[in-house]
Amino acid sequence: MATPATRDRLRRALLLAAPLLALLLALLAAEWLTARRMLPVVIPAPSAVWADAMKNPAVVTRHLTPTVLKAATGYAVAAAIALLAAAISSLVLVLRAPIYNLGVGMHSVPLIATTPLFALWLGTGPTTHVLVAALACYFPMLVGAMQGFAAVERNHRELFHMLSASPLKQLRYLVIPSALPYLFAGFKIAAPSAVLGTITAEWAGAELGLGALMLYALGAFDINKVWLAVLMACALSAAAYAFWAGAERLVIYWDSAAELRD
Amino acid sequence: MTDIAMTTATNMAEPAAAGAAQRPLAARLSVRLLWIALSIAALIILWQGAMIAFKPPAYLIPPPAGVFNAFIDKRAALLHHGSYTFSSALLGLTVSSVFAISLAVLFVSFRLLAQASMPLVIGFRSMPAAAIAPLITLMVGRGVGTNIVVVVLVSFFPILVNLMRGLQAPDRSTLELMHVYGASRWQQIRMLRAPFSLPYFFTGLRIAGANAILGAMLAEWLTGSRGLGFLILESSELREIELLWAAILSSVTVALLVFAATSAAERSVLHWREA
Repeated sequence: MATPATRDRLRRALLLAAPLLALLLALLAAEWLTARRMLPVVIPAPSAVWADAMKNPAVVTRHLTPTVLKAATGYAVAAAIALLAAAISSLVLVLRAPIYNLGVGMHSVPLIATTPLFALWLGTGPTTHVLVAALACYFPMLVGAMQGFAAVERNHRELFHMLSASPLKQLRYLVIPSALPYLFAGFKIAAPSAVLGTITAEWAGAELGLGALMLYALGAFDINKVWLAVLMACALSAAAYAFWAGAERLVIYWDSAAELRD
Repeated sequence: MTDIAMTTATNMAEPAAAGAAQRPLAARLSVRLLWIALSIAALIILWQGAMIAFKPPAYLIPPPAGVFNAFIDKRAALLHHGSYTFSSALLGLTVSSVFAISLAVLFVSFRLLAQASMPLVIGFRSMPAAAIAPLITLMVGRGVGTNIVVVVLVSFFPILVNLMRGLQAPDRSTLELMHVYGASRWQQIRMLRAPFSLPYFFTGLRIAGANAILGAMLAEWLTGSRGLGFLILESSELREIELLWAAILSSVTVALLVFAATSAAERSVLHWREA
């Protein structure tokens, strides 16, 4: 008889394996169906896409690298600004509402409408792409950081006060640990948005990048390349999410993930 | 992340709405319209003042009068593209609402089905719209079909997720009461779960409405045939700055209109919640 612990482990393994299995099945089905010409022309065989990528791997790296770099830069800039703004708002309580409202206001302006403006002001270079990436992803991080810094429980704070902990010790042992779950929740949600922001900005004008590759391939009706670009974009945003989810697992061993409240 | 913004926006609006509920509707509406008009006027004055103070070149920021002229001169084009975006967003929203409602009811009625298909739903949900829009363009072509499919994709999941949460919102004792009275599964949904789920449904619809406009413009950007998204991209490439600003302002207006429409629908359906 299986003990509950091993059964639980088995269940988790199954849950993890099921999507992979489904993906594998879908790939096989697509391969089989395209070989018999039973799918529309716009769905290529997975092996054809793979062969197309392998035929000229430089295309992949040439377009993938700038998008990764720009998305990461935009993400880092947004994270720094969000953390700074949240820190200020938790130290100077008067500024809390204005900072939050400014964040909500900026977030509600549709990026698709304003990206051409940035392209006009700053040109269609990497600056615009990084800026749009940052604008696309700052909001969850701001919300997470603001909630996280305010998440210290009253009792805990009083205990630290009674034990006359130094401000540095309070920060290290109280504020940061209670903020981490919220920070990770925000950072996790924001990561794919940075990738998408970069791609959207590249649509407004770029020489290289996944967004540019998508537009070229669509214009040339190069179906394999369209799929390649789309799959790379999906993989990239999934990887960005998975990176933070994994980091969260490693860092927050004591608590389950926090849910961001409104 | 839009979810967070939307729920926050409604939460902040609630106390004001509760305070205003005592006054008659016409007075409430006119006060609100006056506020909107005043803030728009203030924005225009600020804009014009900045133009006089800093004298930025016209390609950076056009003067308000120029944008106003663009609104007048190009009103036919703006109306044409704007109504295209608005109607495809609305059509897509309708389709995804119908899908989401039927799927949510199915999922709540048949637990096993829900458990089996939830991973699939989550997988679809995490697919980024900006990344798969090119695929849809490839499959559906460069017409209104792509618009609608993209809108459905971005607006379906917020409605479904919120509706599922709402259908499971009734507390245990009310469900037990229905059970004691021998209510059928359908009666349970119609009399208990559906009314309970309405507030959640409208939360989902509001989020979906914002996503819908974005999705429509995203698709138009890519297909490049018609709509506000296309107009924004084209006028920026042709350096028609006044038209670009007019189109951006129109798109913001359309987004606000959809938000107002969903909020108004919520208020008219949920009148019993105001007490």
